[in-house]
Amino acid sequence: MEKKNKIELFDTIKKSFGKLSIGGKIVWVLALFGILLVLYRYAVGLGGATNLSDGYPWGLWIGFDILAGIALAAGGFVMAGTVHLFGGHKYHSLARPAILTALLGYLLFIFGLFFDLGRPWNLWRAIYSWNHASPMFEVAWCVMLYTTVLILEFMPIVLEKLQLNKLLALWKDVVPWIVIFMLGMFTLAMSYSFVWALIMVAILLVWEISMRKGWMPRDKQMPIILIMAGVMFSTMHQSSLGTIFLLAPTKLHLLWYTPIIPLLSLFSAITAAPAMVTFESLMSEKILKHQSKFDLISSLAKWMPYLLSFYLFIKVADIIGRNVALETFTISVQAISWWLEVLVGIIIPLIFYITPEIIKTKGGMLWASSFVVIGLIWNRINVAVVGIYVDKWDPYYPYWIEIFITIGVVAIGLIVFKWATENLPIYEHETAPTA
Amino acid sequence: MKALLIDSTRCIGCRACQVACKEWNELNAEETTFFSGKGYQNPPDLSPSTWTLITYNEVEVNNRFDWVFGKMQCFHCNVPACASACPVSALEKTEAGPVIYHASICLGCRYCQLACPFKVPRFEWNKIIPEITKCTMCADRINAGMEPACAKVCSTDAIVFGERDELIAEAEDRIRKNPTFYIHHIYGKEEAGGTCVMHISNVPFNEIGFDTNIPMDPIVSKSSHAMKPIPYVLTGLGLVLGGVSWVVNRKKELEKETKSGMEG
Amino acid sequence: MTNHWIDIINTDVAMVMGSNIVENHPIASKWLTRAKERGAIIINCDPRYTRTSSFADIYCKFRSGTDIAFVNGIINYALENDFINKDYVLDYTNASFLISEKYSFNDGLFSGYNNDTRAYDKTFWAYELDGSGLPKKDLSLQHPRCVFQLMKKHFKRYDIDTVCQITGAPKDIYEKVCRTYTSTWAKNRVATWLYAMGTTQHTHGTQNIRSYSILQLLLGNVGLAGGGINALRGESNVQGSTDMGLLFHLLPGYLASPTKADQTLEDYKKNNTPKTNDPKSANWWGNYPKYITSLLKAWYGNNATPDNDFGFNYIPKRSADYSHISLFETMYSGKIKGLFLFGQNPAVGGPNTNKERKALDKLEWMVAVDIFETDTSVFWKRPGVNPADNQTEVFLLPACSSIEKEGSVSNSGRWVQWRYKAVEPIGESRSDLWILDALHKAVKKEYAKDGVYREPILNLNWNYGNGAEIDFHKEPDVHFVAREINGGFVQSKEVMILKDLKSFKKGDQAPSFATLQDDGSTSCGSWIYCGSYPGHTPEKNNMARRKKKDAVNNIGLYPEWSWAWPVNRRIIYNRASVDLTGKPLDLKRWVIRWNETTLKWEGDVPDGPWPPNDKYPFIMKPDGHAWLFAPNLNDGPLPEHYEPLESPVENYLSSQQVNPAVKLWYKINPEGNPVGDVTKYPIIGTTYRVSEHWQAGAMTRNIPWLAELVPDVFVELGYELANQKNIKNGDLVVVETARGSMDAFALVTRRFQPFHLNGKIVHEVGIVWHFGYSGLARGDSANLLTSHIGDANTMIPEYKAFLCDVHRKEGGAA
Repeated sequence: MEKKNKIELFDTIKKSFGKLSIGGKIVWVLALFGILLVLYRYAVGLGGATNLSDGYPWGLWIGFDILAGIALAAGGFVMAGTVHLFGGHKYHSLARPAILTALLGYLLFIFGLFFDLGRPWNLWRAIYSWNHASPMFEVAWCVMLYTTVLILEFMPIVLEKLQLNKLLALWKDVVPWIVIFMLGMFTLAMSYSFVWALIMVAILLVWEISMRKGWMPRDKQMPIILIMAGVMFSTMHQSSLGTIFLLAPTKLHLLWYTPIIPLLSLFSAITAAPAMVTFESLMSEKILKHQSKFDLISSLAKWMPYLLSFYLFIKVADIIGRNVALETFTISVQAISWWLEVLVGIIIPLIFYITPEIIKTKGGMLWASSFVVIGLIWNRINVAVVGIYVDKWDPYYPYWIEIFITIGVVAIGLIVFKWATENLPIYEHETAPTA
Repeated sequence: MKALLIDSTRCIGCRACQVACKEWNELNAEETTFFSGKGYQNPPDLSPSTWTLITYNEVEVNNRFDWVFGKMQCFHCNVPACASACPVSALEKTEAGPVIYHASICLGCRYCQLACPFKVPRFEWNKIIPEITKCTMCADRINAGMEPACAKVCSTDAIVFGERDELIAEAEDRIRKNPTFYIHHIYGKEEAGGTCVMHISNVPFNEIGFDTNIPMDPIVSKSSHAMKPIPYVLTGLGLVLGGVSWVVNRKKELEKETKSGMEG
Repeated sequence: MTNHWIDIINTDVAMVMGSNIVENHPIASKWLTRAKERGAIIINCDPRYTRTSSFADIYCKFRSGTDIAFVNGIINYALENDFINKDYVLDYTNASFLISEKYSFNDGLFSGYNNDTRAYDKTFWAYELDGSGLPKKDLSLQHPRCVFQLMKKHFKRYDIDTVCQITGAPKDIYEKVCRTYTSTWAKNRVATWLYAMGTTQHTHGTQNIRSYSILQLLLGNVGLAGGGINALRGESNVQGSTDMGLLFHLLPGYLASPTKADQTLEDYKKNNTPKTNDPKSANWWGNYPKYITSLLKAWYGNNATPDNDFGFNYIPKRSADYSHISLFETMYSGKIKGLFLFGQNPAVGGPNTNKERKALDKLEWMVAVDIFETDTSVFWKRPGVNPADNQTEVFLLPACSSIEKEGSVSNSGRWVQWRYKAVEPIGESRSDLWILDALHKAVKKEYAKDGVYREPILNLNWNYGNGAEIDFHKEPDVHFVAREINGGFVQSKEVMILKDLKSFKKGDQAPSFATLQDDGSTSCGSWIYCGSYPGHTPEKNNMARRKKKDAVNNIGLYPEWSWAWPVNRRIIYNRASVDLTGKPLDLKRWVIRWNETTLKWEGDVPDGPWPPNDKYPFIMKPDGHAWLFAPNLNDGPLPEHYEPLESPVENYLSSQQVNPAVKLWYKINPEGNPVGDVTKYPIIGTTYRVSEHWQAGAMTRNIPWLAELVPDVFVELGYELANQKNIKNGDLVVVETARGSMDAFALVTRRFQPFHLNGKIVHEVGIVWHFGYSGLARGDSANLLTSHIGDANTMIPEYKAFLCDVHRKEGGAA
């Protein structure tokens, strides 16, 4: 019997795998290989699986899986905020995929932590062992809480699918209180001050009660407090992921080490958010055959020249203001990498976005958004890897295992994304349920 | 606050400190071949089993050849970047002076390594349950009323243990008494906001292996402009976002009411 | 040491030459640091820039083996410029003594040399005596045959230019050294001379020290605080071992070991007890009969009686040269059958170890007593040897380390410090004392059955408190041993001490060697230690005293911290630190002073209790004066520069290339004793130690922490030579001499610079000698390179200068 079952299972797997396209097969193989390598990393420790050293303790995983991953997930809070807070209801159909991407991004980020951290089993200790001076502490809390927010934001999709309307109603009722508690605790942890925490809770209570009493308009689908929390947590940690590097004044290259790195970090993530949503939408159309809303995307794209110009402006103003502009003209890996980041991530897409012939086409739009996404990733890798210089140590280059684990993580993301879009009301949910 | 003053002009490079450190802290010997560094240096660097290290520097002082020894170890900053960075307070600045490590709560994120301007903390890269390692200033000995092992065995009193302000006075005194000999700087008095391990020397510090580009403020001060406003930003966002949403959704509602009124 | 470690603080100028104090006596650096902080100038003269040099104010390089030229040059500088302490020289040294007309010096040879025996007739150098048998003096120091004028003539040849041509010292720095050091001729300035193995391990090692002593005496630096001639002993208790008769020609307390000429105790006394007709000479060695008789009483107890000459003939007579090289040459020839080694590792530490290891092969048995398996104890499985071919039966007895047992340790400053057991011995290891006690008991048991000439064994006085049988769990009581060494009265006796009559009962411990007798009423295991344990209970153990109170003169004597021989005197020859009225030469750092009211000395224990000027200060010399001119040495009364056996240059000063009085083993036993030629081996080689390892390495090469610091044998060489030989730092190289070759890692450093010798550029390299084939950290022994040649007086091997060549090992890039 057992044997038979096993054979059946094997056959099913074989059949399902056979049904996949070539691309799909490759993705599955890469994902499985990545998981194997993660297991290997646990067996040998970080030293055997990475090129990291005491001089360069952070590498590709921090740069790509964590910094870039989180930044790219900014689409979630930007779209949710746009739709639910800033009245951009027309973008409603873009919000769910963005939330899914964000949730996936954060879950994969947490997965990434589990192999990048030396002692991941202690992760939960951040809950009680506080250090509000540490930007990393803030990031840790934000990530925990924002992931919770994302799960809460994502729950209606699941409940809707399962037709659990009572539960959905309960969810709507309970979520605001959970969020208020979370934000209160967060404020306490960040300020070590009950006063601040009470102020925070008071403000939120005022809003929530106002909404419940009907003094204030209420989004019937999505609790406003939840969306607010998403935006707040994201603002905090998107910027904090920049703040983290403020503690490396002698190690991070002057081109990136700036007092305003938290702002740049936040703003670059916001700038890239529409591009990421666009990129994702167009790519799913290509690969998953979901009809994209090109009109909505085009409407989003109108924002891009402003966002990119502003980002470019503060980035350039920053290096001029700090009198390090000449550094960009030195012949060094860092200078070259800075130029590539700026050219690929800002200037080229900016040209694309302001050239109607290009931006009108789906291909042009895809290219433009891809550049922005790549530029953002490049920026984060510059900050975490290329821009770090530590005397006396051999420069860091990622080990092949690091690269394949990263690829594996992306592959897992793709698989889950595909599964979610096929099985959950992500794209079907096309008309805004305003009625 | 307790501290160590290390006078390279008194150091004879005998490395009793290096051995005493390993002896007291029960650290393993490393496998070495020949020498790994300048002169007699071994092992090549600080590591999980080497918390202090003597370097051998052949230098030119006032046109005279000299051989000067530097001591590498944790500086036990007054406001340690590592402890500021650690998200879970696994690194702790104690009142007595030492910066100590609590492995049981450490996440292994290695942010301390990135933050430390002196590049001191070492991670056990090849262990399945790794720890961050570094000199503890023999906090256990200090708690028991003893001096750190390295200071205890130093035969020339090149390493002196005592109250930080008294040691600064002592260092200033030595420099004052021999002004043409010493470099007029106490390395660690102000570096990174002041440290509990301080050095004086007769050769420029960068020639005996010390980083002379360390900021003079605590490293954490570099992030204070970003960290301090957090409660303001948070509550501000709470107010602004709620307000905006009110205004925007109110507008929408009004529009809708008009619309539904029309549709009937 | 004439002085002691702490006393280094008191100096104005510290000369470190012939030692690497900072690396090999790191704890001593504490006192150098204090001196430096007081304003003292530290001078270091060494072929290589060492960790001591880095600590010094003045560093002067000079070629290995040219110490005498270097120091004679300073002596000449002092004499020429009159930088000498005239009163001191006149009153306390033999400068004014007239020397026999037979004395002469010509082309490197003193008069009285016999070419065939390679020995001097020392009567050629004797004092000229007056009618009463006292040396003639010329207090004006003008007589052409007075020591002072002979010296001026002798040292005149060592002008600065000549010295720099010979030694390769840079002229400007050498001048600075001369100027700085001789500045201490002034009464209120004092210099100390610190030396060690770098001095003694030469064919002219004794004369090296002679040159230091002469200089110190001319400057008036002996007997004063912060002065003296200070030998930094090579091991922590080697002072104690020599005090107890470690050397083959000595019994405990520096009494001569009997020779064939000493057929009876009377002969022995006559041959060894010096005489003087000068009432002002204390001639302390005049007490020789008391010390030898008391020693025999200690050894043979009641079996030592006037009838059997106190057992004098139980002691074997020395009939040959038993020095290290000679022993191993004899062993090599197959005449020595067995070998006991207590903490010794000659397979690493002996010179020309290729030959010495082969000599070990010829043994029938060997007993090695050590705390680790030494290279010597496994000589039978050394690289390149098939153990099956070796017939030697080897026993390795595990010994305790010093912290696993109680006992005394005598430091270089003659302080005898008691130590307690800190931890229990590991495994089955036992103290050396237990091993010797058990050995004695076992041998005695065998002799009790039968044997030839059994009395020396059976009559031994042996009771150390752990029974008559060997008991594995019972250590001998070391206090019994200490009390025996101190000695006491075996019968009641009344003794005159100064003007007091003191009576002692049978069984009393002796308070000082002044009470020892030559009639058999006292026993004493080592007369110089008499006073170390003057009672029966541990409270009377002076060696265990630990009071941190200084003496009235506050110069760091700490008289109640442990005990120093002799009679707790911390600075010997201290009667030379005062003028003829008893007033200290240096008022600030006075050692002793005469109190006119109490009529007693204050401060340190004086060199004899007599009032000032009652006796001459150098009481161990029969004439009471320090010997600028020493007519008793084998190789001349004044130090003369000769080249080492292997030298890259010809002697610049005379046609005598090598010390004419040394034993030439390469001629006596040519086999295995080749001598290298400069054409084939153009580079000077020397050997030394590092802080991280200890001697032949058994104790340190087995400690992982120390093996980590210095894991491999290395040769240090300068950049010039390295470039010439295409050697890079870290390369594996071969160092070769006529006797052997070794592999070593090359450490290329600026700390070795080439020497410019009379127009010729010569390189020097240095190798650490700690390594061997056993233990954790292994490597070739540097003594594969050194040769069988020793000093003319002490036979100490010439480890410190030889000729070699260096090249990259093929395929040996590390």
